[in-house]
This record gives sequence, C-alpha cells and structure tokens, in this order.
Amino acid sequence: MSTKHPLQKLFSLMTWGVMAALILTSLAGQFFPEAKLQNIAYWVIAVAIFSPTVLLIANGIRFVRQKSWQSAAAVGGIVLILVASIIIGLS
Amino acid sequence: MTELLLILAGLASGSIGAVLGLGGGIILMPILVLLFGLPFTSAAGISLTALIGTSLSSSTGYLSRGWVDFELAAVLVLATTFGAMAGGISAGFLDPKILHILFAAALLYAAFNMMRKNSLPASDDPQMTKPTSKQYFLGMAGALAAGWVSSVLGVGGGVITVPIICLLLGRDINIARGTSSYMIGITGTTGALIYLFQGRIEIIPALYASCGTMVGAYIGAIVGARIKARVIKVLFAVVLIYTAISMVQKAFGE
Repeated sequence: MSTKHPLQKLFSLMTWGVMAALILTSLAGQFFPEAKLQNIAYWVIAVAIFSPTVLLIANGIRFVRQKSWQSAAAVGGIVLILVASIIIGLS
Repeated sequence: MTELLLILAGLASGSIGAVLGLGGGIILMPILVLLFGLPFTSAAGISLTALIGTSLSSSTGYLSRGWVDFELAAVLVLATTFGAMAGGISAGFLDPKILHILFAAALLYAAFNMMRKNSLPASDDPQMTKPTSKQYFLGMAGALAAGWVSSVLGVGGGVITVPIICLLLGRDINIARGTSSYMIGITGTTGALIYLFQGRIEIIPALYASCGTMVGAYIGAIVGARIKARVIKVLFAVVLIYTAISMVQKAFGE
C-alpha cells in the first residue's frame, strides 16, 4: 500500500473544505438570526453528510480503472443502498 | 455556553475516537443524553452527523500513513451499510428503554474489547495476506451487526469493526484503525441520510458537535500515531463501564 495514495488529495480537499465550512458557519452563527443560521447550517450539514459518498464514488471509479471488479461491485451496492436510504428518508 | 460545551464534547469524542479508530459516538451519545438531556433519537441524529466529521478527519490522517485498505473497506462496508439501513428503519419503532439497555451492552462490550486489544496483532508491518473465504464470510457477518449498532444506537460501530478486521481478518491494529475510520463514515451516512430527510437531525447542535469532532479527530489522528494507546485504552474502558451503568440506571428510571 503506497503512502502517497492518489485519493489523498481528494480526501484532504473534502476534509479541509467541510471543516472550514463548519467552523465559519459556527462563528458566523453568533451574528445571524437563528432562522437564517438554521438554513445555512442545514446545507453545511447536508454537504458534510454527503462527503463520504463523494469519496466512495471516487474510490469506485478507481476500482473500475484498476479492473478490481469485486470492490467496484461492492461500491456499486453501497451506492444503491445510499440511494435507498434517501428514498426511505423522503417517503 | 451550550455551543461551547457542544464543541468541547465534539472535540473529546473526535480526538478519542480518532485515536482508537472509533466514530466517537460512544462518547458523544452519553454526553448528549446524560448531560444535555436530549431524547435518545435526537442525540442519535446529532451523533451520526458528528461521527461523519470524525471519519473524514481521521481517515484523511490515516490515509497519509497508508493505513486505509479501501478494497477491504468496500466489501465490509457493503455488509455494514445493510445493517445500518435496517437500524435506521427500526430505530423509530424501538422502545427507548430497550435502546438504553442495548447501548449499555454495547458499552460493556467495547470496554471488554479495549482490555483485550493488547492481545490483538500489533505489527506495524502494512504487508497483508489475503483473507480466506471463511474469514471474509465471518467478517461480513460481523460487519452487518456493526452497521445495525451504528444506526440504531448512534455510535460508529468501530468498537466492532476494529476487532473484526484484527481478529477475523488478521490485519494489524493500525490498518484496522485506519480502515475502520473510513468505514464508519460511510456506514454513518446511511443512517444520517434517513435522519436528515426525515427532519430528525437537530441542525444547530449537530453543527457545533460536528465542528468539534472534525477538529478533534484531526488532532487525534496526529497525536494517536505518537502516543502509547495502552494507557488511554485502559482509562477509556473504565469510562465506558461507568457510562454503561449510568445508562442502565436511566433505563430503569433510577
């Protein structure tokens, strides 16, 4: 396993992006009315929740490129379950 | 003041969770329920959101050390996610008293697991052997149970996935920590999506708790690679047992 993983940059980008959004929203929350903070925070939280899915899909694409079909199929199955979770949540 | 306490709770749960390869929900949940007096299902929604932050930060840290096995994670997460989805559906139908008792049992299991971790493979050698079919089957079954625990109780499931990777799949503790950190984020997402779209996440507390867990897990992933985990594990086991007793007391209204 290489210590310089090709996905490392994407992981760092997502992590720092989400972390910065959470910190800035928390700080800005002191100056916003609660209703507005609630609205902004909802979207920040939604992005945070979807972040692992983005990383998972990126991994799935890598598995396909490497012809690692068992792992790619597993990722495909997980994505289907995540879609099912959204449908369950919305119903 | 409440905001600061939530951030501090997140910091504690994120940092300890990252060091041990857990989601940190096992620390955050008792704080939210016992200290903040939140209903169990509300606390679970906040905890699920916060553990995603822990997972993002800690898996990024462990990835830089080559401790995340994505192929193993993909197979195990499939089983874990099935469990989490079942948990997300069944959480609203379960008696809070039963949830408290189940959570107490999970805490005691985690404490026992912490004590036993010294017997787990401790090699730093990242070279891995491919698990046999039997090992994969046992690992999948264990991961299914871990996913259910994750979603129903709002904990990461790492207390189960780390020993699964170590004991059932024969990987070293660092690979287990790193891979588990990545897995819990995806498992947590399944439950969190259901909570999010059903409007069961209390957004503002989740924001502050997630903020704390992300920063805490980032620090935890750096520090965790340098300190002796044995001392932390033993102390943490004591805290888990104490919290389990508190949860049982709450279940029986004492």
